[in-house]
Amino acid sequence: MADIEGTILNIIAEKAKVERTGLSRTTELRGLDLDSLDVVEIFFEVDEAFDISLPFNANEAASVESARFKTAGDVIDLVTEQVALQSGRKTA
Amino acid sequence: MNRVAVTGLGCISALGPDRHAMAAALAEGRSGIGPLDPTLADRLLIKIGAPVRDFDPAAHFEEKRLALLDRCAQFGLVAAREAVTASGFDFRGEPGLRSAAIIGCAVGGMNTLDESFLRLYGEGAKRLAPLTIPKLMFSAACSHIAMEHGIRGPVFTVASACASANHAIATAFQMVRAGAVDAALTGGSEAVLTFGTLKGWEAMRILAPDTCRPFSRDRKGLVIGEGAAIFVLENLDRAKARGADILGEILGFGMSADAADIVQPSVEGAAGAIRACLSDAGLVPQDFDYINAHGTGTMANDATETKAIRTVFGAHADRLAVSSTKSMHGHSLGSAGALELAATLLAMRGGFIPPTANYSEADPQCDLDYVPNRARQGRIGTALSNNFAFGGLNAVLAVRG
Repeated sequence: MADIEGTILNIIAEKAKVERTGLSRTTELRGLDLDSLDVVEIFFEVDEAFDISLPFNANEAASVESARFKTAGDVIDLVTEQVALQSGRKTA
Repeated sequence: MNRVAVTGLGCISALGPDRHAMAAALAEGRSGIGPLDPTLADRLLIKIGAPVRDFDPAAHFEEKRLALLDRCAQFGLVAAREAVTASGFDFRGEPGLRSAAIIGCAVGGMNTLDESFLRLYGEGAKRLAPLTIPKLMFSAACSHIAMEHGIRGPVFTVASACASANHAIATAFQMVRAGAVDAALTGGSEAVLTFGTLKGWEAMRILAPDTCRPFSRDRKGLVIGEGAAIFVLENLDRAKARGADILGEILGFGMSADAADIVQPSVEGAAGAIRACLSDAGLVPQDFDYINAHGTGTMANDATETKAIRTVFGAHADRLAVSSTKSMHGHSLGSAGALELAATLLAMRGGFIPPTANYSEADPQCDLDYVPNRARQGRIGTALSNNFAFGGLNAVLAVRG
């Protein structure tokens, strides 16, 4: 799954305007300078890159208790899961 | 300065085809949110909306005329007819010269635009229907309403996204109050439940997949609706002189802009519009007992709006009933404020306070009395109706029953 990880980190690096080398699975998303539109755009770019529809609602992400997307790794895991799920659905 | 009466009200929405149906649904706390038509829902991630159901255009318009009317204009015309009939005011002839039609519409004839572009780009059509442009223009509903009722004074459409209707109603109110016209048809009309429009909303990731739960901790966003509400506004003295049934009086309005962010709302911007409205109406917080909130059901709006209400109303905020009727008629963008003013006036007339439907869990960030789920018996004396829009455009109306 290296290419999922690489693609996602590239997208995050581009939106957050940071060096790609500074990002890893453990990078905390809140520590990056991302506003709510950046986050929505990141999910759009990821959807486009993998031809999937991620179940992501900005309202849930905005709620205080939301810990679903704390790190870049959380996004990578969701995408990995959804790519398997949604590509299975396409070939079924 | 003239006082301004509302003497007619017409509406069509997910809550039904007219004001009687809407009043009944509000009193029952019955939500019009439900599954979208499968032809739409099959290709969308969000499969719910608040559509106008069982609407047969042919029952309202002749075939030849229908070719000119987008669904948005159809709703506007149907609501305007109901309002004018209810008011007993005849705009035709001389009165039409001293009357205005000012209608809110945020995105125009989206059904026509969507169908036309599908034909052109998707199906490779070489030409479009000759009346595509006059059908899809923002001002089409407004122009058709003016034509049907013979209104020949100021006629124009107001577009300020989700605040369009309140900006339109406020402008019409101001013209009647100032004596620039004697009467006006005003409100909003919108029909945006099209594939292209909903894909755009879907991409913002702020649509709720389950339902609209304003101010509830588990709210997941807004639900798009459609429809129109139109009002007849008249100089109060003239309305009384002709023995009109007066539904309510518009007392004032306030407008402001956040000038900050294209989507994130600001407490100060919303509070500024509310404050300006109180000042325009010459009222103080203690004069109010109800607020029809903008209450979209997004995390950001509901918390911000609650703070704005607390900022202006202080301790009196705890004595207010605050509800979002979007939980029942959905968010119809450019006609939202009109449907909400209709809800407020119908509740005043019906002797009840409309609830916030689908409310399930208290949120510490939203700590007002939101009239959860069940309408309450009681008289609303004086109310505010809030509208806030993307782009930070805020418009608030004050009304007395």
